[in-house]
Amino acid sequence: MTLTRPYAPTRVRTLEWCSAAAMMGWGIVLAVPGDTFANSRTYDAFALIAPEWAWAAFCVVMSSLRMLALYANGAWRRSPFLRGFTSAGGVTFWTLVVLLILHAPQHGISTAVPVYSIFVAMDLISAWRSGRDFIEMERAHGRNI
Amino acid sequence: MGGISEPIILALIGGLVAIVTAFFAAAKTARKDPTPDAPRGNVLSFDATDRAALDRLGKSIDDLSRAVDDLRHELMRARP
Repeated sequence: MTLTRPYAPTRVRTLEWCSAAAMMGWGIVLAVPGDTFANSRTYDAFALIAPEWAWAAFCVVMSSLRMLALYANGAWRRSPFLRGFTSAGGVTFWTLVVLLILHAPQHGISTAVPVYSIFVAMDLISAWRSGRDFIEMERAHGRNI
Repeated sequence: MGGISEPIILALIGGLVAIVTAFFAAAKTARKDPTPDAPRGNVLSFDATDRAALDRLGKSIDDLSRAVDDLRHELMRARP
């Protein structure tokens, strides 16, 4: 008989922590005094969509929710659902960042594009893991799925 | 907003793709049935020798499952 370890949501959640930390960093940088969007023409397109404070608020709220879910992990039954939801938010956010940087009036492609594209891929992987964990967590709590 | 609407739409599609990905992963996991005739999710392999050992102890698979479940809940509570 081989006993597995009792189920706990994906043990390696480093990708999710990294993405949440990066988004929190974005939020903090945009929230501190000073007009970050005025620093570079790269942010012109960002400012057309929403003011800097709104971007900051979105980043801080989304990353905080995600960190809460990651911290609660298996201790809260619904944490995989929240992780999935915030992963989808992460994909939306990072995709928008990549596209808006590409949209910026500049010569050539920014080096930020491949970096943020990797964040999109990371959050897609996280969404997959959250979906899997959701079912496993329900099973662990006795639901016959 | 004229030239900006396209990135917004594409980003929202990206978010939808992520949600679909999560649903697909959930559906795929749900289709995967844990080892039959064994405590669900806890035991990878469980053969006749194990069953005989349980019988000798006067325990059932459900007893084993409950014991592992109890341990799992304790571990989950202990996790940060």
